[in-house]
Amino acid sequence: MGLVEITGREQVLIRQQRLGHFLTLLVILLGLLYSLNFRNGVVNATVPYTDLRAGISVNYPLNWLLDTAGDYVFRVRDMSRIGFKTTLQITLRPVGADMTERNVLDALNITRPIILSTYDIQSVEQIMLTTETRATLMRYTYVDTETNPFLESFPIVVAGEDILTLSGGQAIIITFRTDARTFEQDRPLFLQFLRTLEF
Amino acid sequence: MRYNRPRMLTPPREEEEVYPYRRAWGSIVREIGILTVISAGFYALGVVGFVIPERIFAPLNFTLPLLTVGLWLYFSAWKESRVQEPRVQLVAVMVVSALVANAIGVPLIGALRPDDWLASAGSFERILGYALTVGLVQEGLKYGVLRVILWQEGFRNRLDTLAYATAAAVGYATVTNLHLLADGLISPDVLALRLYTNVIMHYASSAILAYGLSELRFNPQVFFIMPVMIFMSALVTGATISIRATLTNSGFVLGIGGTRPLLGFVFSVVLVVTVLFLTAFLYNNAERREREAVEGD
Repeated sequence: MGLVEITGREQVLIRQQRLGHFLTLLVILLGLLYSLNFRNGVVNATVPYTDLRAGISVNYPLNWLLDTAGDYVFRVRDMSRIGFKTTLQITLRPVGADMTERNVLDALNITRPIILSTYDIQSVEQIMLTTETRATLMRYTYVDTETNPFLESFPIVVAGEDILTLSGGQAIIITFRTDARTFEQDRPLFLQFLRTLEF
Repeated sequence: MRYNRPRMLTPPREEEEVYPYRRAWGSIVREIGILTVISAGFYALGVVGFVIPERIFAPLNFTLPLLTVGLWLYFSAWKESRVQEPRVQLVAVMVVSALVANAIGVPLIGALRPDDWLASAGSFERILGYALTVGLVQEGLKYGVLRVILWQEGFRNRLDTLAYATAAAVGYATVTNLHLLADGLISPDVLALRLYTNVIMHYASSAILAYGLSELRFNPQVFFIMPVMIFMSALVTGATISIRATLTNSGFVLGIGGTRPLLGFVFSVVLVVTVLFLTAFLYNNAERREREAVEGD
């Protein structure tokens, strides 16, 4: 003899209410998880940049200000930052056949203290930019002061990294500068930038 | 002897049906109305050039967030005690909502830091981003408080959900408003408009949340309305934060640019009126359907 279960209307309603609560919690949970994914999408969104003359192709962060008018090939800055604007820059320097990376760095280190206040080298080390490309990494700090005295702002300690490599008779200097207090937090942007760089 | 009953000149009065609950819509309209008038008054002070003395900035700024609670305590909590069938958990919901906001809501939204990564995003992304972070956290916590404290005996009729959701909104909004004070000492006329927008946003989104709860409680056949409504209430939060900021902040202008607080204020008023009208329509429609179903049986 089979057992026939008679489910009352009340029980059906309670089950539907439970389902409603479950779906509500699911919407909240999925929404929050999607917001994390959405955040990564917004933060890591990039724009491609190609300079055929210099032979450089790279992706830089979306909404950063592109500038190619200086003594560099390419510079982008995060203008939404308060204080020092985080900067990514690529500069090319012609090199002679017998010049080494060290010579280029020395030349930089002679000129920089003139334009950068309290310029101080923190470390210099050899790294592998890709599996085949050797490069020199130099870390340094300096103090950035606002040029407009009416803004009455405090000086900011800036931490910078230069990656220097020789390629095709020229030195490629890839520069990253940001407020020293947020250096570790901002460095993934630089690493992502390096991953997309082709020259 | 024949006794004639005296004839009455007027027909006997019918027994008036006494509504035993506090009318939630009336309280909400009064609270929002007074807040609107006060905020408009502060804006007018700035327009006519009246400078509030700096020595009263701190006490006035501290009083403004508590004004919302004061109005709610009078028009909702105290009036509730004067009716036959009061909603007894009203103050508890307000207090627990405030505590949850302070313990979970504010730190969690602080950790998500949507202002940092949405500042330079497009309009649609900003609305969606704020809805999925600030909106879902706030409405999710308010929903959690109502669900834990009141489900389901606490909701005796549809408007109970609205009354309790408003209590949760006031508690949450007051805590976030008090946290705004920590940003620094600003002029009370500027602060009043910021606080007003925040309170209005909570009232509007909580009304939508309340409708979802009422449908789930009294018409659970359409169980998907509650999840849809919590998303809608989060979307209202996201849209309010994003659109109000766009309207209030100065655009790129030649010369001296300034903020446009009047646009933000008008937007807040239009938002709350529109959302409350729509929600009232949905409530009336649901009650009418329920009446018709009962009469049909």
